[in-house]
Amino acid sequence: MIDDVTLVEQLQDVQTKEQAFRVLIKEYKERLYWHIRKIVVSHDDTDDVLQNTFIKVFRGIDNFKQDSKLYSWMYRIATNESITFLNKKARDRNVDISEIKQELATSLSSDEWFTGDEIQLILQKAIATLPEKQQLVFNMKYFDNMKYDEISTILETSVGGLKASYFHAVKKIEHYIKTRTD
Amino acid sequence: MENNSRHINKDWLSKLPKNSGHKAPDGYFDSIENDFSVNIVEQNLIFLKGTSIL
Repeated sequence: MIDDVTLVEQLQDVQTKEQAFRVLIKEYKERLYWHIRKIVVSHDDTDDVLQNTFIKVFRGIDNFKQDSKLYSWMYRIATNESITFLNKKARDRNVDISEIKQELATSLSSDEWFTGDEIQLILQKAIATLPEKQQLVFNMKYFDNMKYDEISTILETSVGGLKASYFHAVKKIEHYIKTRTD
Repeated sequence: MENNSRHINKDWLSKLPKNSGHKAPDGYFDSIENDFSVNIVEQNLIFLKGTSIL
C-alpha cells in the first residue's frame, strides 16, 4: 500500500496524476461513501456527493499542503459537500434543513438500500433531530469510532467542544428512543 | 459534581446497534473506480478549458 505522502506527490505531478487518482479513489471510496451516506442518507444522493467530493479533491490537490493528513482534508471536503447538498435541497424547496433531514429519515422505512431493523430506524430518526454539529460528531464517534483529535481536525472544532456536542447528542438520542420504545 | 452530570450512560449506549442499517448496492464499490476516474478527468478538462478561456 502506498503511503499518503508519496500518493500526494504523485497526485501533484502531472505525469502521474491520473493513475494516482485511481489509487486515491480505490483507497478512500468506501470510507468517504459511508461518511457522506450518514449525512445525506439516500444512496443516489451519496453517489452524487461522493463524485463531487472527488472532483474537488482532484481540482484542489495541487494546493494541498501536507501539514494536515490527506484523509482529514478529504473528510472535510466530503462533509462540506454533504452539508452544501442538503442546504441546496432545502433552499430549492423553500423549507428548513431540519425538515429535509426529518423527511430523509422517515423515507428510510421504504428505502431499498436501508436494511436496518426497528431500533436502527428509530436511531436514524433520532440522529436526524440533532443540530448539525452534534449529528456529525455522533456519527463519526459512534459509528466510525474516530478519535476526538481526528474529528477536531476535520470539523475544525476544539476537542472540548466536540466532547460537549457528543454528550448532548447522546442525551437527546437516549431521550428520543426511550420515549418511543418504553 | 460536574463530572457526574456529564456522565454518559454507556450501558444504555451499548444496547444500540453499531451498524447504521444503510446498505450499498451489490458491486457498487467495484464499479465506481473506473466510472469516477473517467468522469472526473473529463469534467476537469472541461473545467480547465473553461477557466483558460476566462
